[in-house]
Amino acid sequence: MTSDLLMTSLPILLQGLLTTLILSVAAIVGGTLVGLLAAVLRTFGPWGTPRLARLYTELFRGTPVLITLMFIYFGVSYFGYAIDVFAAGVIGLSVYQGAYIAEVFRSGIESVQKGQWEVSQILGLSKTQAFFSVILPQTGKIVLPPLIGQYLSLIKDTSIVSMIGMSELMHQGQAIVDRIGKPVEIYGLVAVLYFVVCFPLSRWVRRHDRRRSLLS
Amino acid sequence: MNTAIAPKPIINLSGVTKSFGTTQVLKEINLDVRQGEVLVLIGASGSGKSTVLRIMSGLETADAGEVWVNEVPLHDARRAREIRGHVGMVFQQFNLFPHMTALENVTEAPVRVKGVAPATAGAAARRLLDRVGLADKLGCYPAELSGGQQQRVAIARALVQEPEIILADEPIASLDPRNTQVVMDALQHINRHFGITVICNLHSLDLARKYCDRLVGLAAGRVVFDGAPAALTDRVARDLYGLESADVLGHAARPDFVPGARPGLALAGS
Repeated sequence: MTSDLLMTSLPILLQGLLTTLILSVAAIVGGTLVGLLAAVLRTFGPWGTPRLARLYTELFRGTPVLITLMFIYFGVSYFGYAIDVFAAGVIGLSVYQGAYIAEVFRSGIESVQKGQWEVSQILGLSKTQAFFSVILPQTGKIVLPPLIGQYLSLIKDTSIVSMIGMSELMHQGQAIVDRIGKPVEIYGLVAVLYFVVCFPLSRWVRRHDRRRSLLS
Repeated sequence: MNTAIAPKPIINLSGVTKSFGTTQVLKEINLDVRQGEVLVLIGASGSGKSTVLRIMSGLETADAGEVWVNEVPLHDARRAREIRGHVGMVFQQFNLFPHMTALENVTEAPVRVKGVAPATAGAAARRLLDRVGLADKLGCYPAELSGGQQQRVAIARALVQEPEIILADEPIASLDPRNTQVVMDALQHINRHFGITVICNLHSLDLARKYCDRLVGLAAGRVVFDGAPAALTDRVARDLYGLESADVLGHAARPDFVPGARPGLALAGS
C-alpha cells in the first residue's frame, strides 16, 4: 500500500470508524437494556410474559441480522413512516443482539444461589429490591465476560448495516474500492481498524476467563 | 433452664402436612412453640426438620393444616408477609450477600425495607457485630471470613431486624467444633438476654441437650418426641435415628469414637 493511497483513504475510513463506534455504543446500550428486560421477564415475568420473552429470543436467534435490519428499515417505510438509517441500525442491532444478551443475563440470574433469594425474602426485601441490590450485582460479575464477548460480536455485526446504506466503516471501505479499486489494500485496512477496536476487548475476556478458571 | 418462657405459644402448627412430589415429608404435625424458649428439632436427615422451619418462616407453604406465627395465619397467603420483621432466620450455608461487607450485610434490610437512615442502621449494626465478636471485621467481605464468623454476621443480620423469633436451619452443620460452640453460645445469648424465641435444627443430641429448653424429635415426618431433654429415652433415640441408643447417647465415653467415621454416628458429632 502506497503512502498516497493510505493518506487518501485513511481519513475516510476513520470517519467511517467513528460512525461504527457511535453505532456500536448506541446498540450496546440498547441491546443491554432490551436483553436485561427480556431476561427479567423470562425469569420472573407475570402472566404470559415469560413465554413472550422466550418467543422473542428464539425468533431473533433463529433469523439473520440482515433480515431484522431490512424488516425495520424497509418495513417502517412500507407503513408510511420515515426512519433514519442510523435509527434503523441501532434498533435492528439492539433488538437482534438483545436476544443473545437476554440469554447471557438469564443464565447469570439462574446461577445465583437460591439461598440469596430466600434470605432476601426473610429480610423483607421486595422482589424488585432483591433483584437490584442482591441478585443483579452478583449476576454482573458472572455475566461480564460472555457479555463483552457478545459486544464484540455486535461491533462486527455493525458492518452489515452497510447493506441498508449506512456510511460506517465497511460502507466507506466499499465506497473507496468502488471508486479506485485496490480491494485487497482497502479491505485489509478496514479489517485492521476493526481488529484494533476488537482485540483489546477480546484480550480482556481471555484474561478474565483465565483468572476466573484459576480462582475457581 | 430458661425461666423467661411464657406459656403463650408464639408459633402454632396444627395438622400440618407437606409433600414434595410424591414424597410426603410432613404428616399431620401439631406443635406449639412457647415464647422465649430454645426449641431444638432433632431427627435423621429427611425426617422433615428443615421443612418445619421453612414452613414457619414462610419460605414454604403447608399443603394442609394451619400455621400461626405471632398471631398471623401463615396459611392465609395474603397475610404471610406480615411476619417479615418478626422472624429472623439463619441458614446452614450462611447465605450472606457476597458482594457486601459484613457491615453492609447487616444494614441492607433496615435501610431498604424499614427506611432507617444509613447512619442509624450503621450504628446498630456496629453494636451487634461487636456483640458477636466481630468489631474488627466490619469491612470484610464474606469470602474473607471463616465459617463461624460468617454465621455470626448472619446472626447479627437477623438480630438487627429486632425479631421475636429466630429460626436456625442447621446453623452449625458447616462449622468446626470451636466455631460450633461460638455460634451456639451466640444463639443461647440472644435468647437469654433479648428474650428471643430460638428454634433450631441440630443433628447432634449432645449439643441439643446442652443448649435447648425443649427437644422435639421428628422421624419420617411425624413428631415422635416432645419434652425436656432429660426425658429423652433410649427407645426414642432408637426411633429417631434407627440406631441402638448406645451408639447415639454413649459415644462420648467410647475412646474409639471418631465423629463422622460411620454414617449413623456422624449425627452425634458436630
